[in-house]
Order: sequence, then structure tokens, then C-alpha cells
Amino acid sequence: MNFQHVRAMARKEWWHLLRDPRSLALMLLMPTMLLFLFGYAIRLDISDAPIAVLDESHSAASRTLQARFDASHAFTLRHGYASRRELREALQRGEVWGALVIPPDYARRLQQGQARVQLLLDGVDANTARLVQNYALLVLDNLARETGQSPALALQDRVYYNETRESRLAIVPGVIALVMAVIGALMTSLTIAREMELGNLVMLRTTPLTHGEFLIGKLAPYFVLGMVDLAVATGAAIWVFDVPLRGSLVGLVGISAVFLLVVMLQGALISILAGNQLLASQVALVQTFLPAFLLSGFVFAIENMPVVLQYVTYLVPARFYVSLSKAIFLKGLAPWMLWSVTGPLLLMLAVLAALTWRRARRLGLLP
Amino acid sequence: MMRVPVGLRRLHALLRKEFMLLLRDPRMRFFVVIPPIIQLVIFGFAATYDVRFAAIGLVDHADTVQTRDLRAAITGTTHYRLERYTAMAAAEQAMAVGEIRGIVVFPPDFVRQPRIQIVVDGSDSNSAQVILGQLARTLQQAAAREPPRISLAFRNWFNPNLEDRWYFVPGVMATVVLIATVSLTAMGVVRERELGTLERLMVTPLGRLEFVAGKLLPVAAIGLFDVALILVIAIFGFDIPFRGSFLALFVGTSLYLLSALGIGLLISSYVGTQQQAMLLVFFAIMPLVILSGFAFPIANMPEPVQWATWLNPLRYYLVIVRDAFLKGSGLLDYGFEFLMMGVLGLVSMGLSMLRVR
Repeated sequence: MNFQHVRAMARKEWWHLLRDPRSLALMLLMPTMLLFLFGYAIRLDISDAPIAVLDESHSAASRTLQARFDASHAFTLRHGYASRRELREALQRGEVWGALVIPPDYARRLQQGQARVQLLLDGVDANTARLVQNYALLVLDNLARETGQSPALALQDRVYYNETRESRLAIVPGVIALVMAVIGALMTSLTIAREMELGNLVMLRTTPLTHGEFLIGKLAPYFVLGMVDLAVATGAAIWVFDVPLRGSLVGLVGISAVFLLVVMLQGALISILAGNQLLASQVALVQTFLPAFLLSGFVFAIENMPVVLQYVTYLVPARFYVSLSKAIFLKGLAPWMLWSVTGPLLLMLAVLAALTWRRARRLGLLP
Repeated sequence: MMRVPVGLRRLHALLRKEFMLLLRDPRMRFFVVIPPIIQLVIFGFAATYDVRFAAIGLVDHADTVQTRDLRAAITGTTHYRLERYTAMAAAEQAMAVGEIRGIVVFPPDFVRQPRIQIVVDGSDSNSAQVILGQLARTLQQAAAREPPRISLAFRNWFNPNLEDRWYFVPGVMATVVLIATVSLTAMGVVRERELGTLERLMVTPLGRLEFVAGKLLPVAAIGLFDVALILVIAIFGFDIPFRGSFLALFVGTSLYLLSALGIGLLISSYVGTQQQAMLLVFFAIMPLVILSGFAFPIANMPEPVQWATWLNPLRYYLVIVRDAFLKGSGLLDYGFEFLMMGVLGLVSMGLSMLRVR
């Protein structure tokens, strides 16, 4: 390994990057945009869910019930529905997420201590429907307590690691993983394929460059860029989105570097195997965004998936990084305290490095 | 002025070339068919917010008949598995490393004063909410001595068992098709430019419109093919009811593809190399997916962001696909969605035609 050769290759690649300011800007803007989208635009909690009301009781008691629903920050009541058919149509059109039906005998039965109301829900978005159910029960519990029926149990609930219950805190550390997964693979997946497609590789064969030097020189500038992205994303998470960094910063940077290398090698391998940019881009798109989005535990908890799929997630490097990132940010742990997660990531790095190295040999450069 | 396409023969020749270019590589052929299927199956099962088979820590300092009944009520839901810990510290440690996702604590004086503490792992905020809600409901019901004064009956229309899969599979279909078609369009056009073959095409009598049509039609065909493929799997493989009209879905899909291809074309008009094209495709697709209502309801977003989603064709298509599956609405219910997708498609195509001279 000749260090000068590596440097020359890295320099060439660096120029290539700088000469194309638009791509560079995109690579540097991507983390900010993603963090903004997830940190600001996404809420997993519901608020002001539109609920239609059909009050067939027309009594003081039914109006009290309505007022309780309206007072909850979770609901906004919509009036003016005259029949169940109209409720159904409103649900069908998606105007409201649910419909509260208070039957004619509500007031009478409430005095007997056995009132019933019905909540019709648009079940298409199952998760929202579940959240609406929980909030509706909460409203009724509170109402019952005020009217003298004390619940059988006093429940005290606490949410660890996220006491203020903001979904943002749980999401943002995961976004950093998504950013790194996408950027890392995206940057590297086309570089080698491009050289192959444009025929530059043939020219490189006449130089004293070895395949190892080629690979390292090619990837080094992207690694630097990726670490800059990481710094931007982490900084924004801490200072803009107020996510507490409770664990070790050194651990976070270290494990992020490992993860970045893993996704970059993944991209490089795709690049070499595909040999042309169109195919490489398709493979990279399929391999990075959706798996890192859906299979990493970033929004959809892995424990909720069917067992077979839980094994599939072991193939997605972002899965390990997401849980490490959350553990370091929110739980105050360090990578060396979670070997069951850090270990597989290091193993992945070793396997991918070996595979890429072997494949790169076939590029026809000096061994 | 745009030239009116003269000979169908010329377009035919171009289309043949484009299809060959796209599908000549057997790996590319593989790529048009297999990944959509795999993605649908994997993501269709993966995307779920519902909590199943969750391990919950149990610290029972009282250990009496009453607490045993409540414990049985929790395991009776079949959604939870209880792991016993003798001390709170041990349970907290287990939750920190992710072995359990919540803790239920019965204090020593539970019989005298029925109090229960529920702790959940907030690093996964949605599961935390669902677990808290379900545990609280289960425990209260099990402990209740008298029926509640006001009982609430739920009925979930369109999706009675609240299957997350019914919601997400149509969404995955729309997303997969979007990613494939936008990227293929953008890369395909730029490829000609980067490899210099565009100049060669310029000296042929081929018009601009014909060139674009030749580029877009094969991708549109692939998109339609993928939709059909995924539809069959969703209905027969995933057993998702299809209650709406195929005609509405077909019209919606065509307009959706129009706007997706428009976005791809617009991206290609801004870039010179495939690498740039791919970066920009990503840069565009991520907000399109995230701000579409695919995984996060639009109504929960801040208002300015909600306005931005009006420019997102995926948003409209998701309504059509989900309704076509679950709500069974007809062709006439989607006038607005059709219109918006059509307008977005035509505007983006028009813009890109103006940009490329």
C-alpha cells in the first residue's frame, strides 16, 4: 500500500466532488432536511381528531358528555349530523375519524347507572383508531370519577427516557441513522459504477494503482463528508430539537464512524457488482431508504413485527445503529455496554470489507 | 413550437430501443419484477404500530390473590408476556438494554390501598402509548367491582380488527411504484446526456415530444405492471379485501404515474449526471413519502406542512388506493384527487419541456 497513491486517488475524487457544487450541496442539505421533516413535521400523537356527534338524547347529561370530549385536546367535535347514514357517509369520505353516538335513553340509563354510548371509528388507519379509543376511554374515566364513581385501581404511569412524552425525542435519534444510511450508500453506490461505465477504469489499469489503494482513495473523501453530515445532524438534534445527549459523545462518534463505513462499503459493493449506474441506483434505492425507514425500528418497533421478519432485520445495518443511537441519546448508555448490538455491527463491517476487497480485485487493477 | 409526432413508426422504433435498453440487462429485468414483490411482503408485515408479544417486567411486592388475578388479566390479553423481577432496579436495567418494554409494579401494601405503577420505555414513543393505554384498560376492567356508569362500545368500520396491514400494504404499493418510476425516468433521460448519446439523437429527425414519449412510455408500462403485480399479491396473498372499483384504481394509477413521471422528468431537466440525478431523486422522494400520510397522518402535522402536502401526488393516490381496497368508494368520489394529480403531472411535464430545449 503506497500512501501517496491513496492520496492522489482521494484528491482526484475530492476534486470531482468539489467540481459539482450542486451534488455537494444536496449531500450536505439532506441531513438538515430530513431532521426538519421528522423533527418538526411528524407527530405520532393525535390532537384535535375530528369526531362527529349524533346526540339522540338531547339532554343535559348528553351535553355534559359532549363538552368533556370537546375539552380534551385530543378531539374536536363536529356537529350537524342528523342520522347514522350521514355519519357513515362522513366516515366514508374521511371528513371525520370517528363518530360518537349518544342513544335516546342515555340520560335515563345514566340515572340507573348503566349508560351506553357508541364510538364508530374509521378503522382504515388502525393506529389512529387505537389512539382515539384510548383517549375516549380516558375522557369517560375522568367523567366517571367526577360523578363519584372512583375507579377500582389508582394507576400511576411513567414514561422513562422520555418523561415529557414527545414523540420527537424518540424519533430524532433514529433520523440520524436514516440520514447516515441513505447518504452513505447513496454517495458511494454510483462512484465506482461511474468509472466502469465511462471507461475510466481501463485507463486506471495502466497506472501503478492497486485495487486496495483505489478503493481506499475512492471512499476516503466520502467518509469525511459523511462525518460532516453526522456532525450537522447531531448538532441539530441537540441544539435545535432539544434532544438530550445523555450518553457518551465519544461512543456516539465512534459507533457512527463504524456504521458509516458499513453503509459506504455496502454502496461500494453494489457499485462494483452492478457495473453501471442505472442498475446501481436501483439497487441502492431499494436497499437503503425503505429498509432503513421500515425495518430499522426507527418508527415501527422491531418487537412488534412477526418473528420471521425480526430475523430479516438482522441484515439491515441501520437496525443496530438505530437502537444504539436511541440508547446513547436517551438512555445514557455507551456502545460497549450493548455488545449484543455493537458486536453484529462490527461483524458486518468485517464481512463487508472482506467482500468488497475480494470483488475489487476483479476490477483488473494491480493486485 | 412543439413538433407533432409524425410517424408512429418512428415512435415504435424508439420505444423498441428504450425497452431493449431498460430490459436488456437480465439483472435489470429481474429488478423490475422481484423487488416490488419482496418489498411488498417484507414491508407489508413490518409496518405495524400495533404491539404484539411484548415482554413486560413484573415487580410484585404484594404477591396476593388480587395481584395474581390482575397478572392473569394481563397475560390473558395474549399481547403481553410477563417477566418477573424481584427488585425494581433489576427491571429497570432490563428495560434499559431493551429486554422488556414496560414494567408493572405492585407495591407491598396493595391490598390495603390498590395502587399500581406502570412504567414504559419512552424511546419508542408510539409503542409506549399503546402499551400504557392497553395495560391501563385491562387492569381497570379486571379490578372493577361494578360495571362502569358509562360504557363505551367501539365499532371499527372498514377494518373491524384494526389490522395495520390493511392500512400499510396499499401504502407500500404506492411508495414502491413511486420510487421505481421517478428514479427510472430521471436516470434514463440523464443517462443519454451523460453518455453523449443525446447529441446523436439530436441529429435524427426525432422530435422532442417523441423523444420524451419514447422515454416515458416504457417506464409507465413498468409502473402499471408493478401495480398489477402488487395488486394481485395484496388481494390473494395478504387477503386484503378489495371493495372498490378497479376502474377508479386504474384511472387513479394512470394519473399518478403521469405525475410521477413528470417529477422524474423535471428532476432530469435540472441535472447533468446520473449521480446528481440520483441524489435529487432521493432528495425529492423522501419528503414525498414522509409527507404523504403513508406512515404519519397528515392531520397531525403543523399547518404550513399540511399545505405543502397539497403538492404531493402520493397524498392523493394514497387516498384512492386505500379507499379502493377498504372503503369501496367509486369512480365519482375522487374527482378532486384525479384533478390534482392530473394538474401536477401536466405542470411538471410542461415545466420540464420548457426547460429542455
